[in-house]
Amino acid sequence: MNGAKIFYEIFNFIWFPFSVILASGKPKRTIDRLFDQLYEIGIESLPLIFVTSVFLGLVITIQTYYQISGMLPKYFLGLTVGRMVMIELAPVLSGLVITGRSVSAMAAEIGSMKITEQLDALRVMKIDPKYFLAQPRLLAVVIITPILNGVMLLVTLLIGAIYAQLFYHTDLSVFFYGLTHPFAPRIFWVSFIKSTIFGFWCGASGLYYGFKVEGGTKEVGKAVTNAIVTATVLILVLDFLVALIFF
Amino acid sequence: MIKLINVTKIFGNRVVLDNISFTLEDKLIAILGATGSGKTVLLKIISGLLKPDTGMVILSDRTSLGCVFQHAALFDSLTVEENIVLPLLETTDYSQQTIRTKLEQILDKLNLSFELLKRKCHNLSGGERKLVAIARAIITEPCYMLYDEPTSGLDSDTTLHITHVIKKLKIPGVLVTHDLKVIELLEISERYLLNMGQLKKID
Repeated sequence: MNGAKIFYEIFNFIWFPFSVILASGKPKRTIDRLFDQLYEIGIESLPLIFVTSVFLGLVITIQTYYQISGMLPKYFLGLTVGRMVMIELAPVLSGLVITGRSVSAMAAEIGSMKITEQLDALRVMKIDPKYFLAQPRLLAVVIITPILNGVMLLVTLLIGAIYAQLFYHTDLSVFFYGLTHPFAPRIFWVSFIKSTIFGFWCGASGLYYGFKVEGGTKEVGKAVTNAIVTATVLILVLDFLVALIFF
Repeated sequence: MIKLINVTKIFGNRVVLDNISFTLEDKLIAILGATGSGKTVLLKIISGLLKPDTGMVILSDRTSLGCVFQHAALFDSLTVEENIVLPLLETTDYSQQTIRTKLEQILDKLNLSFELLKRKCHNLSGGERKLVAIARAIITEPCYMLYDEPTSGLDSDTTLHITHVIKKLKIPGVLVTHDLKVIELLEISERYLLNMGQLKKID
């Protein structure tokens, strides 16, 4: 692939989600489909988010206690765990869960529809596939990722606090004192801004590679891989950029 | 009216359509050709899904097209009813009552049962899928129909049934197939052969 092609590909990728937002159709019908997608992407992701959060809460509490025990007061456990989870771990891991579970499914579903001429059928019926298929999915993933981030935040911190009380004799009030002193609201809302950005670009990645499929089932598999790899790399790159801007 | 003027389409080094011209007025024409001869490409160019490399396709004012794809292209996660009424729901402001009436008319025309409506499309047989695809294509009352191998993969009884339905519809358009028997069942008089990119009328 030469330089011009790479540039063209990057431009297409960046423009794609905006073209999805601009695709026009009946708003009421988009809202109906949006609720289906919110259920599929959001509610059905909850069990995985819970499992990830529980183990994240346990591991991060154990590791943090190991680092600070005997050196720092116990409320530092709440402070360190809280900040790590809020700033980094919850947004990044909820983004990765969405990538593994929903972005891959989007690429596979749209790609399969493309090779079985369902996208062509929509075009002949004068229905824009971006409006019909992509818009509700992109909106759903943008709405649901920060919500899942919030769920992960809550569950992880709760599990961390309970574990600290049971095994390190750190009272819940001490843990939550560390969590909230000094409370920096910026940390809290940056966490949600981050996950919204991750949701947008992860969703864009799944849809973009799905729409790009040409050929047969092998290409659908490649599209899924490309969507996951791109979304994962984007989460890391965007994480760095957000850190650079806000901290 | 659909008019193709000097349409050429090339994929890589392969000339799939070579300077093709024809005019379609008010009858169903058949295009016969072997697998890979470019029949589907031709239909996609007529329907606007593909752009010709050279030449042009002219559709007269308010010409609307219905298309039946080779593998039906139904949305498997939707029910038969949702598939059929989809173009009306998405592109018109018809009331639910009007849509229902149109749906009933289509079912009657194609001799489809009401109990089929609630079934998911992934549970349909090959013949049922083709019929639903035809129903979805004609519910918007198109001026022309494009049929891409409408009987491929079907047994002889179902083929007979589908050709009977297409004949009964009497909608002008283009039907492409590799099966001469289908053209004979449909009693299409204007026939073309697509071979090596060239379209030749056959008698």
